[in-house]
Amino acid sequence: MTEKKGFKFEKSTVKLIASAVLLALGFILCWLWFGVVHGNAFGMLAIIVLAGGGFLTIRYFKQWREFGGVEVPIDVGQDKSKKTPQYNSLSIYPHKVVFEDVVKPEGQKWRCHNDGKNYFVNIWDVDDNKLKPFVLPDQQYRDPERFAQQTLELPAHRRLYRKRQKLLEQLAPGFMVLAIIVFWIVIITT
Amino acid sequence: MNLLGAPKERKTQLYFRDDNSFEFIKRDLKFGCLVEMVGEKLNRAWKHFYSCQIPFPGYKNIQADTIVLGFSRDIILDVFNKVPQGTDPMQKPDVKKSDSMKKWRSNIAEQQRQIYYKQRETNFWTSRVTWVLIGVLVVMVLLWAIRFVKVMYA
Repeated sequence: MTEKKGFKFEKSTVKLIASAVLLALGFILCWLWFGVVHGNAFGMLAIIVLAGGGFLTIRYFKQWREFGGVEVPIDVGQDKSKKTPQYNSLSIYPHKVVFEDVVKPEGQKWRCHNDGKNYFVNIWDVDDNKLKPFVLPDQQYRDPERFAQQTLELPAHRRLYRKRQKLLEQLAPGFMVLAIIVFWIVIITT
Repeated sequence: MNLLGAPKERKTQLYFRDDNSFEFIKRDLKFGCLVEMVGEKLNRAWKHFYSCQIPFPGYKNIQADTIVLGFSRDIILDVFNKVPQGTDPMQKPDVKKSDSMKKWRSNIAEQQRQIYYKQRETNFWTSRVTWVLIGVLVVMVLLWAIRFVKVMYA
């Protein structure tokens, strides 16, 4: 396998740059509103563009941080312009899971929700050293819903450990929102 | 203090349903489990073991990743028996012993209580909401001040 080198704009990077441009445009519009154009409609447009740009920048920055800039190595000789061949089986080995063509597959077909096609699902039997049809086991441990809600969530314990905030800490966000509204009124009316 | 929050960890799960279908799903990794959330509430969870991860090279629109097997009826699907047995949260319980599952679940619950106990410390100055509101106030004061100065000296 060889790694593909070179700089490439990922989708997430393009979205981040576009939202940053929108945020910068919002700042420019606000500066124009205060310096040149004096009108409430223009001011509202400037604030909306600024707020929207800020929100989108933060959102796409988080997405970019998660997924941006990761190059997936490709096989030597793999031609990306060719369509991926359609295989008939999904095979599960101890060291890999692959879609491949199996000669005379056994068992029933399973539907794959990702592409809507049907595949035989096989698993490698380490004792017999061959592929066998995959069969799901019966429940041995715990139902995933009960495990999540009773063992992980622990609602009663979370309520016990929640720290009570002081009155000032509880009221502070409300006071700040009130201050923003008052400033907004002052800016519009003066 | 990270105002934007830590990036989410996600893993791909090869999820088998009871209706003979399967899907490659990206799920959030939280509390050592692959979780399905409904809003802020945990709906379902599957225990995640690094030793159960299997490389997948990708196919059509399915991204390459190291995947974990899972199905709708149980929290652990260890088809090649890679995970050692025991009552520690990083092991899988022994189904042949009657109290192994109980001890394993109670160890996980104890671990969760410690996580929630650490998270109980809330500080006004480390809250994201506080800093967003302060940021908005500062920007508004600055803009108003610039305009005031311009009007005064106009």
